[in-house]
Amino acid sequence: MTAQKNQTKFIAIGVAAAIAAIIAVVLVVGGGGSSSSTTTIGDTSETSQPTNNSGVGAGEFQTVEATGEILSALEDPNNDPARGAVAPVLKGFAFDGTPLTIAPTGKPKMVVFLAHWCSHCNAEVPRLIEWKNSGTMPADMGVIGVSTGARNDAPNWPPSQWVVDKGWPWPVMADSEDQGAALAFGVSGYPGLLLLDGDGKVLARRSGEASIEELKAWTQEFLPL
Amino acid sequence: MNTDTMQLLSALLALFAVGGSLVLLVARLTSRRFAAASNFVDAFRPVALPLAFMVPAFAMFGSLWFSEVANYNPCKLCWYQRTCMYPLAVILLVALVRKNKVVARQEVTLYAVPLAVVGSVISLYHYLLEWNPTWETNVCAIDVPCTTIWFRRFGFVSLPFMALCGFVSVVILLCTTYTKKSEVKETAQHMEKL
Repeated sequence: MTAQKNQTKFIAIGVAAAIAAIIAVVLVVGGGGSSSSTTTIGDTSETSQPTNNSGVGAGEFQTVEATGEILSALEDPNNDPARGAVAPVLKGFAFDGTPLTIAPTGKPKMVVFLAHWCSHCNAEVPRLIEWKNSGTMPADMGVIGVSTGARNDAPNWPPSQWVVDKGWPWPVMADSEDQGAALAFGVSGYPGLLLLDGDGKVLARRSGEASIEELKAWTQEFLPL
Repeated sequence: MNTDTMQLLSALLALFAVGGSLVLLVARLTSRRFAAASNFVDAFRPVALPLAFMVPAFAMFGSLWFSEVANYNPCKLCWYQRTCMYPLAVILLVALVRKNKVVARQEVTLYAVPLAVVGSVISLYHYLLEWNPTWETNVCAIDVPCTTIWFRRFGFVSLPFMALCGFVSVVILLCTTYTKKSEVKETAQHMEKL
């Protein structure tokens, strides 16, 4: 009985010593930075970049001005009340401060809302590029990306570098910190895709990953021939 | 303490907890064959409850630290795991301060183990979801999707992995040292005599 008590005491002391050793080692060594985390809290790259000719500074977030009636949040893509409504005109900026506008141009347009940390966006971007490179994307359809939901404590920050790394070939508008562009277009999940006709009317909206074949079918269904 | 240090500390403690628990499990499984293993399990029994309390207590402190100090917003599955982990810390503390430790350990096992098993199933799903984000949905939620990986220490220790370690440790600590009814009766009789 005494031997067992001694053994129990030995186990308790051993466990306590091991925990103390772990705490001591971590406190001495510090975090070590061996994590795959990309936490960069406090990154203020938006204020450290040069200002372009238009007078707007470069940054991961930009101001976005939405004119017109905002679209309701997308719930059921097959029964979307926003279909046929005129999408608001978005006036904003690229990451480098270059002015960008999403407005009717007489030609159909696909607007792609992307979040740098979103695994599904990371999977979708290469598909969109492959679709473009295959030459089967509707020739007159313009494509514009909107970087939204950016977070400096999430993977792949900053989004300006992320779009370069992913090889995104189309222009990208940087959404505001409060996701003004995404809210104006009723985006309910990432990646969010909108098809607009030449007059700026919503032809269709969808959320989530899709294969090239699905995207082809989707655009063929809604884009006027 | 900075975020990096806390990540490393919690990852090491989680691995230590699950590693130690697995040693206990092996000892329990081999206790009929080897006297040393049986002696080890018997000797471990009195410290099982304090250790079983420390695991969810540390986990609760860690999860609150990550959400409130490091600003890692918990996702839906994180909240489900919290609903299993936080009560564990409370009920194991109550068991710990009870007078009759043998009865307390036996009774709390009946409440704590189901909670820990449910928690471990959720943690396991959440962990696997991190590696297979297309399982749940093909859309990222606008707020905090469950596929967001705040960090991965040593390439595999993420928040749900640590929660899984915690739940598994509690299950092992309580189940391997579970006292037989006859022993509990004997202890209860002995307590009454006193």
